[in-house]
Amino acid sequence: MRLPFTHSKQEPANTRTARKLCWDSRDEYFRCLDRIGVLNPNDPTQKSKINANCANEDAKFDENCATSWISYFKEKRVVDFKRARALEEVNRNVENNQQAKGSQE
Amino acid sequence: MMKRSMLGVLRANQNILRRSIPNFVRPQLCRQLPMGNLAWNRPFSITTSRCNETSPHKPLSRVPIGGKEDAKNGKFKESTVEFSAGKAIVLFFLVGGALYFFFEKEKRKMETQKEAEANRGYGKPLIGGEFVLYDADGNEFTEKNLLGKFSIIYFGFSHCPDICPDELDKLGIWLDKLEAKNIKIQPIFITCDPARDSPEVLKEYLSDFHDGIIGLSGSYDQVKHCCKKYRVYFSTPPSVKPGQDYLVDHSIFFYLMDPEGQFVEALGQNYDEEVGAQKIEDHVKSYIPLEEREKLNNPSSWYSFLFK
Repeated sequence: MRLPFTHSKQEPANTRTARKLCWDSRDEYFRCLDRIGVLNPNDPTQKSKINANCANEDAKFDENCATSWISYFKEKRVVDFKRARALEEVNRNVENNQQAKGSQE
Repeated sequence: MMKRSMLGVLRANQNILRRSIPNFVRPQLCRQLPMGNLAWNRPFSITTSRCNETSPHKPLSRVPIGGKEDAKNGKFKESTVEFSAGKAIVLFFLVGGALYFFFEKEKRKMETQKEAEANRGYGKPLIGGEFVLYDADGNEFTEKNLLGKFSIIYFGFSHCPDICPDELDKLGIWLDKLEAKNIKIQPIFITCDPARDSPEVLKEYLSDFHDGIIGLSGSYDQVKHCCKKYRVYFSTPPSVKPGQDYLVDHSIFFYLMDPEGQFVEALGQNYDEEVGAQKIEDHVKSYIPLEEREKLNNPSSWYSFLFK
């Protein structure tokens, strides 16, 4: 059952294969961003750089994923990165503390 | 002196015995008692001479009473009750290992029981309660449908970008693992997005994951009520335009409910394919029906003091 969509974009079906296709094109797009060193795809200052280098991947991503998913994944990329860095920071601190303790003893 | 008189008594006793015991047992007696030593100490011992007397006439039977002749070398097998270090060590490890295994298993069972008991709450359940929703065929599905079997309930929505599909795949693996161990669980998916997830949509969506997942939907208020009962947060706007594209933020938990429809445990994302299945299995195996629980009335077994 497909609801009539108000906007022009044809939303992909909600099936396992469609999801896989979306995730794959998302990964492709993010790999491209990694290559050109862009973290936040929503960053307006990076827009021209993304358009110049990852236009194909961006179009595919847009085609294969629902609009809400695209914005979710783009935001998630930044959040995930920050979380990973925070976690690293904590781990480093713990290690440093342990080393400091070790040298005191 | 003392020793001699004692031995004399022994000998006298033996003579009495000797008279009452039939002939074929005699050689046996001669052999068993330490006559050799006696004979040296007392060269005129009647017992010894008698034993020696009989030997030239009739070959001594060395078969113990009730024993069997060993066909091969003509000797009887000695069945001593002597202490054997090797056997004792093996026995020690076998018994010790078995006991260790048993108590470890019981300990885990009791811990799980305690956990379930704690989560069951006293009196009113903390999580869960009455709700009315509809399954794929439009039949009413209420909390009464949870009775009589373990259920696992997940709240989500079909337009979920990545977490729900992952979690539902995980649920599928859990169900397969449990089914392989002959544990039947009723899997239920309750949508937080009734505007888009009609029962038919859910049926289609869930068939991607595992057979028999029951998709439940209802009116916005019914779903909201159910989510509230299960302490599930969700962010679906109450009125959405048809075709509107949005995401629903919601709590990610699997709720394990026991055959009384009572909450047992919430399994979050940290439970992976292995640990989650194990956890559910532990709960199912350690579940004691209500009547039995009341009968036991707390001290669950005589050795429970060991785990306190």
